[in-house]
Amino acid sequence: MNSTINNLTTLIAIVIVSLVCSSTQAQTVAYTGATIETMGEDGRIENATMVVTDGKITEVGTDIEIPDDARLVSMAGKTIMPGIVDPYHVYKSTAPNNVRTVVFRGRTFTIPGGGPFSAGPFIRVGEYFDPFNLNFNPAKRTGITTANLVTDGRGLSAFANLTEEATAEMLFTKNGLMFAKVTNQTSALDVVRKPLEPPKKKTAKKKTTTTDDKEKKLTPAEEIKKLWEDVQKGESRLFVNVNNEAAVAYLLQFVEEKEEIKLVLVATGPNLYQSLDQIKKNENVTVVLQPGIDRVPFSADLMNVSQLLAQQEIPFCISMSLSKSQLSASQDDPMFPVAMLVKTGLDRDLALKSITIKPAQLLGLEKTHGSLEKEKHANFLVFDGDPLKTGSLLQQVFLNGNKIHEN
Amino acid sequence: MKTSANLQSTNTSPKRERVNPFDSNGLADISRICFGTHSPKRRACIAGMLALLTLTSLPVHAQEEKSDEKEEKKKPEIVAIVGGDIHTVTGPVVRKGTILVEDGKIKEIGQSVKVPEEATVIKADGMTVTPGFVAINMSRVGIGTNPSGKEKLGDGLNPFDRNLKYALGVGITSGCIELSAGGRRRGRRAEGAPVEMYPGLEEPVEEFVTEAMMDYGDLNTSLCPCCGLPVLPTEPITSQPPAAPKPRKMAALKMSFGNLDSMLMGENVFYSVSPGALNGALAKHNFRKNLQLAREAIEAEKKAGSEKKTTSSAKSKAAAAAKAAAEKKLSKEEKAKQAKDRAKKLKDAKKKPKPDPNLIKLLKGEVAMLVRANTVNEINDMVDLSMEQGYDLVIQGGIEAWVLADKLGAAGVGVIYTPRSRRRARKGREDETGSFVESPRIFQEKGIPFSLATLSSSISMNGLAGRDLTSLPLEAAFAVRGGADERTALKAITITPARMLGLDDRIGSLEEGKDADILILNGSPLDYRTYVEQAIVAGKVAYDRQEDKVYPLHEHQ
Repeated sequence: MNSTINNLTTLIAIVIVSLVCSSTQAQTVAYTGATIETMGEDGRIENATMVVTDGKITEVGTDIEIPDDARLVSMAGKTIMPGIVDPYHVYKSTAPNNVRTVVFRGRTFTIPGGGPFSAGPFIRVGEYFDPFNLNFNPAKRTGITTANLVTDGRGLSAFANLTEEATAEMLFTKNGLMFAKVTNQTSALDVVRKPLEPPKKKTAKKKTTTTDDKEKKLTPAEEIKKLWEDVQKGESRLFVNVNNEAAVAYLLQFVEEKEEIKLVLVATGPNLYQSLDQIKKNENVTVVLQPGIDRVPFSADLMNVSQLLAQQEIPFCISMSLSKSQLSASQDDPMFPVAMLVKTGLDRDLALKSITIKPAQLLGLEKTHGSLEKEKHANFLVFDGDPLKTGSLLQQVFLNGNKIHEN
Repeated sequence: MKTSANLQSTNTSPKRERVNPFDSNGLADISRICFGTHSPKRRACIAGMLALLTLTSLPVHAQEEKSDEKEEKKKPEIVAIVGGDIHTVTGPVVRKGTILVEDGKIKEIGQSVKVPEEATVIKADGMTVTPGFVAINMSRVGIGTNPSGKEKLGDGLNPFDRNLKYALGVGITSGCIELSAGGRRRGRRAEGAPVEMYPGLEEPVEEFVTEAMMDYGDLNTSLCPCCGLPVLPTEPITSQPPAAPKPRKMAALKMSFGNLDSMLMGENVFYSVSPGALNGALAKHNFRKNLQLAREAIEAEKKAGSEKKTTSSAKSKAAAAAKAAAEKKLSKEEKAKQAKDRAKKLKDAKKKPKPDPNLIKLLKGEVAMLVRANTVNEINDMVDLSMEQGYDLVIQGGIEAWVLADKLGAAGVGVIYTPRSRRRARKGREDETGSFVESPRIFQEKGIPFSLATLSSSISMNGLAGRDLTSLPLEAAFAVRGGADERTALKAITITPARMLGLDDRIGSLEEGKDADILILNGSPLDYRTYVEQAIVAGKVAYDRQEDKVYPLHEHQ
């Protein structure tokens, strides 16, 4: 008896294993009959087919040989566009300055209310990230598949794929880019200014000796120093979130002489509006702003800052998550604010690119993300019509070929 | 103060000579009113620099040529304001003249100025052109929040502040901002300081004025609990470690909307103390002690400077060699003793209070003291102290200054006056207390340099328009009503405050080489119907009435 039961269990186990194996085996899916906004060289293709194997796009186009083993999914009448890449996703407020701890004569006191502006600790999102008490659902509903995760303070960002279930494996690049939040105050501006000061000769000498002596692990402080050096040399981008129009002016004044630094200015339209000429002067400045129509400061007039940026030929990206209220409000027509921009003058192609391939380029992910082309990741959105038309619903969101959201 | 006339004068005492700046052709003379006369030391400095320049003129010249070439490639920004009647303030009125501005500075003014082809021309036909107004007392303009602690003002500016536009809309292109506001009007209401809520309307609260205060003026008197007689403070018997009064932070800002670079003109433009800091015998004693410290520091500095000059290099070498030889001879014990002495000296030096750098600046004449004083007693007190110690003084308020006009004129003390401020006279002393409508006339006659301030220093649109900062030109008109002539009234909102701030080399009048802060007005600057059509700050149009829509757009018939 026992032996037969044993045999049975082993058999069942084998069957299960084989089933699992077959399900995880490279399943090829061909999405046919769709209008595809590739955001690549091919542009918009009507009645096209996209073949996805193992989470990657193998073919896109009209005359494609569909592999025999491929599962066919008809997307007739639907529009497919790349998943949205969010260049600045504040995933958590670290709120560092609510409570201060002061040690006075050996005793510790906690005092409510921090200083006027404290930058808080340097946060490495890759290590600080705790997926289990986060809710990425609003972002997924909006069509965001990839995000540059940052916090309210300063630190080193991480890139994440918004998978169906939040796990630690979401982060596919733990060492992203430097980010900071700045206002027009000395302590806040120093967060960016101090580490980017030209290095003193003395410290440079010391460095050479230390590197000669031991090429071992760097201390956290040294690592941060190195990160800032990369920023200083222009090897990596620096994201700075500026919270008012004066801070924009200060930051532009600061980078005016530092031509090497590649600055990404994260700001709202009204804060940028009066500094457009200044931004244009510096070629290394890219702007990240939220989609939507803004009001001209101190006026009843409305303006489309994205279009103004396009007119001035200033490179810019749109972050769908900068306005949190918009993110949660837009249930199934998340593209509405972008459509508004197009309706009021922004070039349609540019508008779509500024939420897909351009942020991907900004993050250095253009080889894998941001467009629907051969050998790129199969991150895409399925709309039941033109994405920029009112009434078109976002129906499905795919990440690496897996459906992560469905309306 | 920065003119040749002043450099020629051999007056070395810190007390200034009396000049009537308002005589018929007193344009040059006015610059001699002292808000920071060059001290002899500074003059020596300038002489030294000149000598250096002549020595190194050749290489410098070569360098200049090189830099000139570079600038030519850059192409200077040239703006021409053509056709207006130009009120230069320090010079004559140029009718239908042209102002040429190059890179934010005035290059040329005149009727036959050639306008280069590349210049941006601003037409001002039939308009009045004046220098931008200088608001001597303003707050909450161009900054978000007052910087506190380690925050620097230079990092807290907001070149896009809406208040800048409101200020520019009435012609204010620069001004002195008070950063540590608050407390100025707290308490001491009986002293007659206008109260913030309804400035200019507040009557002094009589019940606060006790007998003691009436009789002993500003002494910090208290009443004896048993007999009710006033207790007079006495000079302290032992010298207390005097703490220098903490001056309030003042800074000069330019209303260069949208241009952060040229916004901050200077920090600590005044040595501004609250009247309480110099009030009473103890406070005065402390202040004198601190001034003494500062004076010693200045003298030590001077000495060090002269010693360096006298000892030639050869001499010093010889001396050093001799010293070294002598040291060798010293025994170990002596050396130890010397070391001990040195340590003791160091310790003493540490104990010794350090002079306040602000006071050093005050004594050197680099800044003037600004103090709020309204009553005769307060003013008299402050003037006496300034004459005794020899620094420049500017009285803020000065409601009863007309009573002391002769003394103020003789001492060359400046007054920041608000023609519409009111103070009720004390009963039975109507002829020597209270405000007086004709104060501006008296100031002008006695040669007291006065600049005009508004009733409230910030910009408020909550139903109080007409009393806030935007009423500055109106306040000048009220000065004319009080008997000052129009020229003086215009000076009182342009060049006189610029001198008080020590910035008369940059702002306050239309002269070659000065900052191009220029107003284009559609009428007389002192007419209440006049609007600023365009305000040019640092050579750029910072305000345009038609575009900015801050003030009404209709035209008066």
